[in-house]
Amino acid sequence: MTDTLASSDLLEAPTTQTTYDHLVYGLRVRSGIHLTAPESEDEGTPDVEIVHADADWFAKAISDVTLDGSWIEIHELAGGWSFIRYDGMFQFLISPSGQRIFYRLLGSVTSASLQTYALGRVFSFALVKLGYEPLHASTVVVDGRAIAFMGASGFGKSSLASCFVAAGYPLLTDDVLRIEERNGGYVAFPGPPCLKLLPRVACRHLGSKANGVPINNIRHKSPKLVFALSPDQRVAACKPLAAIYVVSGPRNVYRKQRIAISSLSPMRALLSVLSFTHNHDLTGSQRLSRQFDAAQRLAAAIPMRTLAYPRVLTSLDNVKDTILDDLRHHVDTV
Amino acid sequence: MSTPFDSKVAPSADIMLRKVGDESILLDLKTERYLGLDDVTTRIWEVVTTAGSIQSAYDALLTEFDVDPERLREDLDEFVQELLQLGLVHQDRA
Repeated sequence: MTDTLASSDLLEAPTTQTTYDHLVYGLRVRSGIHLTAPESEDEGTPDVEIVHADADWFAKAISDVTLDGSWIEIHELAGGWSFIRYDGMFQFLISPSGQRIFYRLLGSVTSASLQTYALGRVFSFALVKLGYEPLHASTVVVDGRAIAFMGASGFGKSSLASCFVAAGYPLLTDDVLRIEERNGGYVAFPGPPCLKLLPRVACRHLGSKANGVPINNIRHKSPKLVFALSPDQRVAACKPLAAIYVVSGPRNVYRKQRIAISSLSPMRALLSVLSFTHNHDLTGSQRLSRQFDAAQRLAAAIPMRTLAYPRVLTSLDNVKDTILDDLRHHVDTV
Repeated sequence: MSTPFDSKVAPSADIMLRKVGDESILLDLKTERYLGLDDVTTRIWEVVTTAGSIQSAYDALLTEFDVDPERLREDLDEFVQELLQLGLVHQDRA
C-alpha cells in the first residue's frame, strides 16, 4: 500500500485481469486499479466491483442518452442504471444493484483523479442502490469517537477536518460518510485515506511538503488538490458516531462572525439530515421513503449541532478548540 | 369557495408524515417535496385528518385553542383548501 499519489500515474485501460480487493466505507471493493485504500484480506464475493469497460460497450449502454456537453452529466437509464459523465475525464455506469461500477477514461487522467471521483460522488450512487443512506460529511476521530462535519460542497468540511488532522485527530472519511445502526447507536466507516484541499489550506495543516495531486483536467480546473494521508493521520477502522455538526454555508456567515455552536430542534435536525444525504440524484418513492425513515432515526439518536464560523483560515484552530470544548460539555460519552 | 364543513379529509396515499417533537415533516412522494409543520399546524393536521368531519375538527380545536370562533373557521377553511390544492389530503363525505 502506498501513501502517495503519483501525479505521473496516468491511467491506461487495463490489459490484464489483475484485480485488487480493498476495504472502503466498510465494504469490500474489488478493482482493476490499485486503490489508495487499505487492502482487504478477506477473499470472497466483493460488495462492489469497479470494472473497466470499453468504448463500444459504453456506446451501446448509453445509446439513448443525449449528451449536452456539460462538465458533469447525470442520467438515470432504463432498468435502474445510473450514468455519470465528467467531460473530458471519465464516465461511469452504476448497475441497478449498486454492485458494479463500470468506468471508461475519456482523456488523460491520473489514478488519484479517477479514485477521487469513483470513490466519491460516483460511489454514493452504489451505496444508495445497495440500501445505505450515506451522508455528505467529512469526519474525524476524537477520543475514539467519530465526529462528522456535514454540509454541502464548498462549505469548508475538508478544511475543518484538516485542521483536526493537524492537531492529531485522524481523519475517518472526507466527503462521503457511510454509517450503520448498531447496538442502539451508529458506527461510521472509514473512506479513502485522502483529503481534497486548497493548496494554502494543505500547506498550513499538512505541512509545506505535502504533495497534492490535481483531480481535474485542464479544461475543468479545480483549485483543490487531493492529498494522501499518512497512517498516523487516518483511521482504518469503524468508530462509534458521537455527534454531527451541521456546517453553515459560507454565504450565511459574516467574515467577522463569532464562532457559534447551538443545538438543533428535532425538526431542523431531521431537515438537515435530509438536506445533506448523499445523494439527491436518486429519488423515487421507495428510496425517498427509506431515506425519510433513516434520517428520522439518525436525527433522533445522534446529537446534532449547528456550527457557524468565519471563513478565515487562521480562525480554524479556534473553531477546532470550540468544537472540542462543545464535545466535552454537550455531547455524552459514547 | 369555502370547504363544506360536513365533509372530512384524510391524508393522501403518497404522503408520509413524521412527528419530531411537537413539530412534523411531511414528505409528498408524488412531488418529492418536504413540508415542515410547526407545532400548531401539526396539531391542526392531526385533528383535521382524524376527525369525523371538518366541523368536528373545528369544534375540537375551538375548545383546545384560545381563538375567536370566526377567525378559527376562516383559518381552518383556508388550511384545508391549501391542503387540497397541494394534493396532500383528499376530501370525502362525512
